[in-house]
Amino acid sequence: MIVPWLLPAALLIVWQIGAEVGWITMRTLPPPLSILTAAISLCRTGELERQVLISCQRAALGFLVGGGLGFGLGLLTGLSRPVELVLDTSLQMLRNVPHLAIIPMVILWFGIGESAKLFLIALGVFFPIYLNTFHGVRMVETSLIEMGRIYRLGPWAMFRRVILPGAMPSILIGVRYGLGITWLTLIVAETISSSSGIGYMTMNAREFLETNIVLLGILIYALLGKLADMATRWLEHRLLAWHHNFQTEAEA
Amino acid sequence: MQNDLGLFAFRPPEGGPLERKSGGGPIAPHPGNGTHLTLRGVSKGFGDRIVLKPLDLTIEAGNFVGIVGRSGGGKSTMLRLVSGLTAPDTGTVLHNGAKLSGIAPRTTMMFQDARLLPWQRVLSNVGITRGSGWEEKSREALRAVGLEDRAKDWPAVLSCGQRQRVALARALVAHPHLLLLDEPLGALDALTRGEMQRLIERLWQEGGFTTILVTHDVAEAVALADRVIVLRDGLIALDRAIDLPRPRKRTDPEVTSLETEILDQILT
Repeated sequence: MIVPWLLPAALLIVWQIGAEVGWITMRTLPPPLSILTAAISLCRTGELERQVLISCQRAALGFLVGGGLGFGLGLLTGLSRPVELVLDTSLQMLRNVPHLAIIPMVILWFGIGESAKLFLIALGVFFPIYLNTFHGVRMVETSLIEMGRIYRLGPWAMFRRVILPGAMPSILIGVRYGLGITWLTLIVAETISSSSGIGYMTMNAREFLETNIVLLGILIYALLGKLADMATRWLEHRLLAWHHNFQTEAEA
Repeated sequence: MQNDLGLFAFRPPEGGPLERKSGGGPIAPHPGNGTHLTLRGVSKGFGDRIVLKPLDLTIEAGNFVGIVGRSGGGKSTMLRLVSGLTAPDTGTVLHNGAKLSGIAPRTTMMFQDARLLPWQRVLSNVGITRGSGWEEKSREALRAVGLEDRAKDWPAVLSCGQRQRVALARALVAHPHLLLLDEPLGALDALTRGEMQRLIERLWQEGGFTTILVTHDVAEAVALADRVIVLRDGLIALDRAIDLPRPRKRTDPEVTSLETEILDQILT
């Protein structure tokens, strides 16, 4: 299908021509071709790859730490009423604080180094995954748990075969939210201060009015966000195959 | 009824297919496979509502007992007490003379909804407890309920009746000594219901386990049970042995007169 791509292609062409004719200054919006040449030259030096890799590592590490903690605590509070009683109210109160609002405190605590970025990302990811894991575990139908009891499933079998799969749709919603927050937080953290990463690259380029590199950075952020989203979709497809079985039944 | 229902191999395979006596005579159950059940002064209430008043009941091994009564009469509660899902307020439940604590041993249960795990395929649902050779055993159980070819399907694509048959296969794969049926056919259409009743009867005859069927359908209880118990306001209002040859016909005058007698007891 070509039709849906006609409009974006036309826009790109108009944009390029507009820049060349001089309607749009380089400073406002660099032409698409210059973004492409910036990408190619940065790739040649290996600079682009290095910065993207650093940003991805930050995102992955922050996501794993925050997501892992959220998942673990979500399971604990979901499975055990006493733990819920002790923890849940406090966590629900903390949840209402926007994690980006505490940036000044984070800078005081961690300075502006790597750990501040990781902390921010982990904090942002923690809550959606915690909440959705907790709710997912609680939403597992009691009738199925009862069935598992009748069949004398041990605690591990009950968790593995009944509770975890039952909570999985909700957990994956949390993962998706979490990934969105990861990128957002990464951008904010890298823009505030960085000596490496995509954010550093764009802020550095801004100093020298290299707007094409700034725009390239923005595009890469968008692309990475899109890739992460595709990864969760793939994960959902794998883990929730039973959810989609109505559609795929015909092909099977 | 769909035929080709394979036989459920409760007995050594050298016995070959079970002989089904023509003429409708009952196949003698094997009481050795059944749980002998005793309830002594068992009662249960929720809040200040008493659902079951102190109750004594003995069920012989291998018996098929039907429990009928109005809803709220304590039928399901009694089944849950027998299964160990719920603990009684007073009294004791004994399985083969041993006091029950926790979930009952060698007991399986079917509910009104099939309660299959939607994220596991039919075969894995039947073999929920896993254990050695579960796939082969589960396949055999599916064969017994006539759903061998649906082993790889998701439960969601099955009809209500098929799901209940899978649940039945799951209940039987572990060779239970006690099968508890909590209105398992309540949600099925009349035709499927009749098929399931015959299937349950046949598998019970082959397996020889004790069976307790809770139902609001008096005809169903009379068609299947050796003994029908009417629960009314938490008490046993009627305990009636049914000694009619199987399979029973709904139109049989003895069957209909029994149904009337039991219905009268429920409605009093």
